[in-house]
Amino acid sequence: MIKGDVYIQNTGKSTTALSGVYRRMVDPRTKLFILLIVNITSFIQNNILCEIFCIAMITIAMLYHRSYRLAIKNLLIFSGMALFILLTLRVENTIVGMLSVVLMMARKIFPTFMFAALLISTTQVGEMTSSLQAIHTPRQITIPIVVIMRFFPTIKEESKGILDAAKVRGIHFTLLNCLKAPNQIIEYIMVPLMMQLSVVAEELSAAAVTKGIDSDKKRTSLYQTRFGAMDIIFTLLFSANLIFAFTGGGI
Amino acid sequence: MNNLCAIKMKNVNFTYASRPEEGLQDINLSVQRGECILLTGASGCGKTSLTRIVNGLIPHFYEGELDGDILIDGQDITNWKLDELSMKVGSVFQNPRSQFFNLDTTNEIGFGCENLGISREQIWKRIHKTTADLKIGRLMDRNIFSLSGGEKQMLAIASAYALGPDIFVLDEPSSNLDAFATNQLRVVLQKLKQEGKTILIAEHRLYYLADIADRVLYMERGRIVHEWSAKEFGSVSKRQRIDLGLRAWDLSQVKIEPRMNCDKEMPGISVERLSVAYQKNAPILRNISCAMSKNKITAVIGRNGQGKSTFARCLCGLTKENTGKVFFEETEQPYKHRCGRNYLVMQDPNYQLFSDSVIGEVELSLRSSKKEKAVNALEILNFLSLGEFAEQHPMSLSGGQKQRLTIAAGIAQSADVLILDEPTSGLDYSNMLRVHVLLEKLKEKGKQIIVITHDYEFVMNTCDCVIEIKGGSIADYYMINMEKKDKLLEIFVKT
Repeated sequence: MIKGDVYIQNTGKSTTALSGVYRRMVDPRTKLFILLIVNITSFIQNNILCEIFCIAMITIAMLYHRSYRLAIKNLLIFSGMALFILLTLRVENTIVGMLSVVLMMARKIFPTFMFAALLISTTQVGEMTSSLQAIHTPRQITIPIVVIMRFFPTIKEESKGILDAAKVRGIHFTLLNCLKAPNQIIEYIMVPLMMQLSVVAEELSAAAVTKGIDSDKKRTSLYQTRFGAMDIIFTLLFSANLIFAFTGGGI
Repeated sequence: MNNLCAIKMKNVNFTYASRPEEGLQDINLSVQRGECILLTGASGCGKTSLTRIVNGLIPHFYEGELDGDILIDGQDITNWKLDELSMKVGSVFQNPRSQFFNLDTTNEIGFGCENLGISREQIWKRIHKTTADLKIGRLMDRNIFSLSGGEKQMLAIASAYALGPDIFVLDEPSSNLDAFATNQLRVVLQKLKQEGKTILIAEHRLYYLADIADRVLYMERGRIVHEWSAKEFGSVSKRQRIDLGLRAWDLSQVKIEPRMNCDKEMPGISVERLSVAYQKNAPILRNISCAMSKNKITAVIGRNGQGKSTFARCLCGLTKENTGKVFFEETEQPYKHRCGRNYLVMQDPNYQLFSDSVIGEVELSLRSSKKEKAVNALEILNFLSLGEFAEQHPMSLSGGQKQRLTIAAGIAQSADVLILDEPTSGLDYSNMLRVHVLLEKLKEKGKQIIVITHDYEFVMNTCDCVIEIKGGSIADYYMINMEKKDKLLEIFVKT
């Protein structure tokens, strides 16, 4: 068994493509830990080098997980934002100014979002649950974490429907409209989105209850996850960047 | 043990803590092992509540006041622990989008077993047994969001099946399915029945259960008011069935309803050599040309994934065509002008409501001056009999009222064409008739109506002509008449 990989064990008759699938990935626990590190790093850093280093490492992590499209997409968004901020530094126009302030904030939280995107797109709900269970995390903590993971794609799906619906109703979410009446636009997206999500949440919990999610029995798992060399390497690299950020880049 | 009933209820009453008007009253029911019971009745009649008692969601999840004796597999409900009950009773719900906890299919099938602490080797064995028994190997290892509605319901059954329950409880499992998927559902239910499973199923769509159900129970205001054996139910007169608001049991008995005859065609929306592709994928619609008459209600039918909804999205200006043209009343309608003029009424009206009051919802779409707005809005609401709800919050309306409100918004933004996506899914006969009356009224007002539908009864009742979409092109386009009836029935039942 290759270390650092998840080996999907299959002891039944192999009738499906599932038998002995190798996926190159970091342990879900490591990903959660790195997410925390990235979060703190981007919060305290005020050094462009540190930021670039952080983005570069997340990109490498994405490439390692074979999420090539995700990597390219995020790099493009980040360079676009950086370029806009750079170009508009000396422009004195209210709308452009507002936009650059928004973008500066977006840039600050961008690494966290980028890593979260990687975490969600490369971790299965079952893997996350089982790896957290392996370190004896109580259900009360595991289940909310997993539910949050489960909800991101749902938000994406629901938003598609809402944006379409708004377009049909003649409400256009163009950049100009967003700047002109931001509160109205937020209302038109958020109100239906929250309504939909609360319905989904209730139905989902009801379904989970009928599948024994409340059970007192010790939960088992389809997967066996374990730490490998890549977990250590990635953790060390991201931690080094955190220390770099703490010292203000003054090494 | 063998002579015990699978489900037994004696003088059961239940009131929801949150909605005291709904609940169950004086339910007496005993279901033998291996029996299939079909629960039917109007929305809010209590059939869903009854299924919730059997799977333990009442009173554990939906709180309220419950009394009476309930025995599941001979054991009093108060003695069942909810997690043990989930190995005895498997549940399938109405909405496929919200019943999966995992994001991939294999994990979802194993999910219940994991929760109940079954060993890993055992879980894999069960997953393989489930996929073999239900013949769903093709669904393994897929992303949940890539499944069709029908596949999702199969998966829901499979994930319940993996826990090895003797009793299956299904709450309107077909309401989001097309005719083809409904037939697949029928096959799986037949298989469960052969295995001797007890099935309790709440449904509006009845025909697909004709060979499976042993008894039919009709509920009204929380009570069981009629009970038939399947054979007796087959001979219930059409008159009585319609009085009870029930859908057809045998689709071949459904007749074409006579309608106002207007032979003269009026030019409405038409398309010429239309092709649509998503990004660089193969085109979904290929070179479609057809002209739909303005004064006819057109049904767009065909299996899911064949291009129906892409066609509708393109007409509404949500998806841009690659080549081809769209015309309305013989003038070309470019892509940008279509959105809003050709108004899409989505299957789930909740997406389309944005305002905090019913009248505000209509005013949002009106382009007149402020003074006129209130008057015009009220006029439109009255036209759709929503006037009395003007000040209410849209979310406090019933499903049908919400649907009418989204249509009201369409009229307010002076749409010429209304395209309705599955307006009758999950509706009983009386509500289907309401939609029928509404569409007739809109037609009279001069709106062109196009309906995407899987509902054979509705097509027979309301629609004037049919566009059949298959593999991205128009397979057939015809008026509904006696000659075409058999062909249509074939499409809806035998696919």
